[in-house]
This record gives sequence, structure tokens and C-alpha cells, in this order.
Amino acid sequence: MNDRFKALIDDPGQPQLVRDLLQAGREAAPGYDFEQGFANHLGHIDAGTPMPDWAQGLQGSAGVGGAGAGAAGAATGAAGVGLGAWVAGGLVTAGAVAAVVWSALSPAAPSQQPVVVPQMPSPAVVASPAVPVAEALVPEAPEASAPQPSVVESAGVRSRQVAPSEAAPVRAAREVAASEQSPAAPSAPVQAFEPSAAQANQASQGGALDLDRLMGARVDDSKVVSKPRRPSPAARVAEEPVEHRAPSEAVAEDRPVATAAKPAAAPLYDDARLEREMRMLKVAQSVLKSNPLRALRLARQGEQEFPGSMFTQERQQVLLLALIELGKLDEAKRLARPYLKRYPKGPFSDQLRRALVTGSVQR
Amino acid sequence: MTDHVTARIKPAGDPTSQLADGHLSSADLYRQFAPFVASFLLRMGIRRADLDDVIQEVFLVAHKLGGYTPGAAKPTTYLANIALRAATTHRRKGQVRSFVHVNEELVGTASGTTDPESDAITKSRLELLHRALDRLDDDKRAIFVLCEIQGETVVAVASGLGIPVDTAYSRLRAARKLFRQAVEELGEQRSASYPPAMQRART
Repeated sequence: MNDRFKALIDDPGQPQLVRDLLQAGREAAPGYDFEQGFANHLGHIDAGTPMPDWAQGLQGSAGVGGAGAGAAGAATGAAGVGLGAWVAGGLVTAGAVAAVVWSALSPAAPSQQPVVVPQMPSPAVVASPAVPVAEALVPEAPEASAPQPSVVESAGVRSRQVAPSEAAPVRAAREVAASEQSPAAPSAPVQAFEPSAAQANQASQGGALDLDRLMGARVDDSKVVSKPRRPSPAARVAEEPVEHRAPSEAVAEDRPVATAAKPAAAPLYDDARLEREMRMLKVAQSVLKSNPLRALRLARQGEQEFPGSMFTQERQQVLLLALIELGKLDEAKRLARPYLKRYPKGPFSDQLRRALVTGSVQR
Repeated sequence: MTDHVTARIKPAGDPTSQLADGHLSSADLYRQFAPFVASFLLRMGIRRADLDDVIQEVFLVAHKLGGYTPGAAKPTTYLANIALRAATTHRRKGQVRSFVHVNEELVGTASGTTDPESDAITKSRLELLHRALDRLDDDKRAIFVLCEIQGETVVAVASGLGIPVDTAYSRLRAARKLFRQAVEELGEQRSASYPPAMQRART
């Protein structure tokens, strides 16, 4: 240490007890599961968890590790970057507000709406009466299949945003992830699905590898704005911010509003469809512990694609367990209430109850 | 202490290592500095039960802020600044002042040894350490922990916390004084209950 001060622990003139205590503090292990913590961190990012309230004052110093990033985030040190971030944040906020207003004034609200419209629920959804939250493990309307320039446009608000086209190689390399992210046409073979650019962009943000790539490109909160997410009716009912929701949040079983927004969700159960549903569920179950975020995504997509199917109970259990694994205990408890009410003695209910109590999933 | 240069080294093939300007994403920061943040939070009085929540918030905020870009602050002190705010907020919410009362299990396992006598000594020392740290306000506690326990320099800490260097020195000086007084006072109170090995260690 090249400071004016010599560390107490290195100063033989200090009381031995003081030095012993400091040494004990240095040597003590944190006793924390860092691997699990890392998975949780990626999960928070992918889920678009918003900035905590206490950190709002740090907004102006984004990306700067210098003095200006300190407790006095508004300090002059990071004025240049801070001002830029502030202006960009203002533009994003203004754009979001404008989109909300515009969406509210446009009942049709098709997916071709500009800027952040894909995140906006349609007025019909907003006006829909509250439904039991759990029944709303909730499907959201699938994405339009055409690439959405609006995504790029909104991405332009923050110049670091990755355009959807950049995700194309990732899409090609990750068929499974793409399949997870995109509600395929019901009759489409599992392997034959080809997501849109916007969907591929969405998919590219799902896995850890792609997430890292995006973060390496310094895409952060702007990603939340430009993501072609579409909060489900349940998301609105749950009164959660849009950023909290993964691409396909929740699923309602037999929800007229949601199903009306879907493009031809055929109720027919052919073999390919059944195989796809079973496969998705199986994968979701198998990765529940190792990759709960993926399990959550698969379960949500399954609820969206196969609402009210024979595997609904099991799939919703996976969804709830995945939430628990991701540390979203409050959300899991909230969604589990109607689930357990509906399936009080279900084959999966006891495991769910145990997980809710312990906060972790036991096999 | 983690060297700043080390922070720039990333494993080959890591998709986040494409940036040559030393920028660290929140994932990079987590991989390299999560233990530092965890230790800091514990020494700041965060309960073990809350540790994961607070760590997640710290790195989420780092992510939202765009990660770390080299500047006057080191990655560690950059994170410490965020962690300090997180710790202060959580402790205020939880109305918890004393780490020791609610965190015994951590103290018991912190040493990682299998020697009961050594564990007992470590436990006693950590208890006393945290009781003494509890006597400091958050600002003094943070700079004391960073400089005296986590081995950061005063200049780096000042940069990270965004305070003048002289202020940092002043706080550290005051924190040291209070800490020594607390240790002396608490040590005398507890000396009678120290195990024999601890008594030997003190002499």
C-alpha cells in the first residue's frame, strides 16, 4: 500500500488484538454459492429486473469507473458521460410515454406500431377484468413474424443497442433457444421453426453465451426498452413493470382475450404437436436446477402454445419451481396460491409447497 | 487485493473479452469480484440470509450502469460504492445493527477449518470484529473495511466512493480511532470468556 497510512494490520505498533481481528476479517470466507449467484445474476438481467430505487441516483454515472461514479454520482467527474446517459434516458422515457399514449389511443394496436409498441399491451388487454393471477400463468400474443424495424429504431435511442440482424448467426447456431423463444405454429414440426429477426434477437438474449455477447457490447438497460416484449394480460393484472417480464410471460388457461390475440392457436392435437409439448416440458424439467431461467422460458412458452393441455398442471409446476430457483419467491408465492387452490392434492403440489417454504427446489 | 491489471485479463474465448478498452461487463465483474463484494457486504453488516439479495442488486446495478469502464476508480472500489449504498439501504430496511446476533452461523463456518479450537478462536475474533465495526457509522465503516480489511488504498477508495482524498483520509483516521477504542473496550469485556488458546493468542 503506497498511501500515507500504513495498514493497521502491518503496523507492529498496533495492539495485537486489533491486528488479530483484522486478520480474521481478511481470512474469513464469505460462505456464499457464487456459481448459483452468477446464474441468478444472469437470470435477473434476462428477466429485465429493474434498477432498485436506491440506485436511481447512480444513473448519471453509468459506465464510468472513475471518481464520478462514486457516492456523489452527480459529481462533476462524469459530467460528460452522465449528461449523455441522462439525455438518452430522457429520450427513452419520453419514447415510452409517447408509445403508451399512442397505444391507448389506437384500439387496433397492431404489431406494426413503431418504437416500443411491442411492449405495450393492447387496450383490450388493459381493459380486461382482473383474473386469478395463477390462472394467468398467462400467454401473451405471439410476435409478428416480420422483422420489426421499430426495434432498430428504438435501439437507436441508445447507440449501443444490438440490431436484430446481428443476432442472425446466433439464431442459426441455437435452434433450441430460438424454438424456446418463439411460439411456433401449432402444426409446425419442432425442428422446422424459423424465427423472425425480432424473435431471434429476443432469443439471442436468452442464453448465457449470447447474453454475455450483448453485455460485452454494453447493451444493458436499453435492451429492456427495445426488446420486442409484449406483456401479457396477466402481467398487467399482476401490476408488475414491463421490465420484470420475460418475453413470454405467464399463461392463461382459457383466456379469451389472450387467445383472440393469437394467430391461429389450433386446438388440434396431432402427434407432432403433442411430441413438441412433451419435449418442451421434458427439457424444462431437466434444466430446472441447472438453468432455471431456461426452464421458466420453456414453461411459459408451453403455457402459451398449449393452454389447457393435459400437461398444464405439470408445466405450471415447473414454471413456479423455476421462479423459486431464480429467487423470485414473492412472485412464485403469488402465482402458487391459485395453483394450489386448484390442485390442492395434485401430484406436484407437495413438492411445490416444500419449495415455497425452503426457497429451493428439492428433487 | 485484486490488482487492477488482473481485472483486465479475461479468459480466451470469453465472448465478453472482445473489448480491448478494459471495459468489464457486469458478468465479468461478477466472475472476478463477487467474493470481494460478498466479503465487503458481510463486513458492512449484511445478514447472511440477505447476502444473495444484496449481491444480486449490486451486480444488477452495475449492469444497468453499463459495467465498469476504467477510470480513477478500480473495479473493486467501483463495486464497493454500489455495495455501500445497497448495504446501507438494506440495513435501514431491516433495522439491523448488529451483524453478530443474526449471523452466528456464518461466523461459525467462516474459518473453514476443522480444528474446533481454531474455529472457536476465529469465531470469537469475528464476533469481536463485527461488534467493533458496529460502532462505526456506515461511511467510516466502509472506508475502514475497504482499507484495513480488504486491502484497498485510500486513494482508490476515495475515487470509488466519489469523495475527496483528504476526506477519505480523515474518515479513515477517525474510523481507526473509534475501532481501536471499541476493540479495547469490547476486548476487556470479553477477555474473561475467551478460550485458553485465545488468551494465549492475545499475549
